[in-house]
Amino acid sequence: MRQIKTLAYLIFLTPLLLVEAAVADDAREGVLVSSLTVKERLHSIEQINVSAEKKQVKVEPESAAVAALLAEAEAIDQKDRAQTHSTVH
Amino acid sequence: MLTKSAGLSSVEQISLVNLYINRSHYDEDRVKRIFDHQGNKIGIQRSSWSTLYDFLTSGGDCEDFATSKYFMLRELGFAAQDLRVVVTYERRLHGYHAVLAVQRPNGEVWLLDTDNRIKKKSHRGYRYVYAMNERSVWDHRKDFEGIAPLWPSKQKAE
Repeated sequence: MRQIKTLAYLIFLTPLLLVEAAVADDAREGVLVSSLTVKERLHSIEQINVSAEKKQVKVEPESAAVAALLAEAEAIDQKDRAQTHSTVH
Repeated sequence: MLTKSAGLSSVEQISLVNLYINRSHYDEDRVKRIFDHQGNKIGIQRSSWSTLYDFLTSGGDCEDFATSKYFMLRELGFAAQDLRVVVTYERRLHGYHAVLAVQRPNGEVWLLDTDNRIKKKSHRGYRYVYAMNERSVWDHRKDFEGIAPLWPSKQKAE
């Protein structure tokens, strides 16, 4: 009788334990487990004051090619600023 | 610049986009009051998420930097499933911050920050709150027992 009871526990409880473990694993991993809909999450994000500013540090570009493109972009921006300045004055 | 950088390696493209966008003017959002059509106040908006054009012309704050990096990397061919704009809480700054997370082919997650640094190995100090891309929004708040990984190992391919 005891063996039957033990077997019954194993048959009925094990699936429930497996489901609970899967949900707990998802919750621990933060994977798409939320009581909020996507729209509610987006609204929630808009309520957060995301604005903490960080002081920039000097970081070397990954390669000479990257440095060259950044220098080119800076030159274009400087030209734009000079043109805007001369238009205003 | 996008055309010229198409021939770079993915590591070079990430470096270029991070440094290029971080040159932009930093300008904090102002809190906006939201009204209905009858003029009744129905809420407030603390963050304003600019379009890429608005950001490149007028500047913005950290979430605008992160979303701009997202769209530039998408234009360069990075897959949406490998990119997320992440809202984090940073205790050192006593505030909320946003960075762009890039999942690399070897599973590493790189965080592109506004201070020019790219955090590759250690993400210490970043407490994820929400992450999003053009497909979904992930909730990483502390209900989930602390810092959950941005990309759990079983969810690498969407």
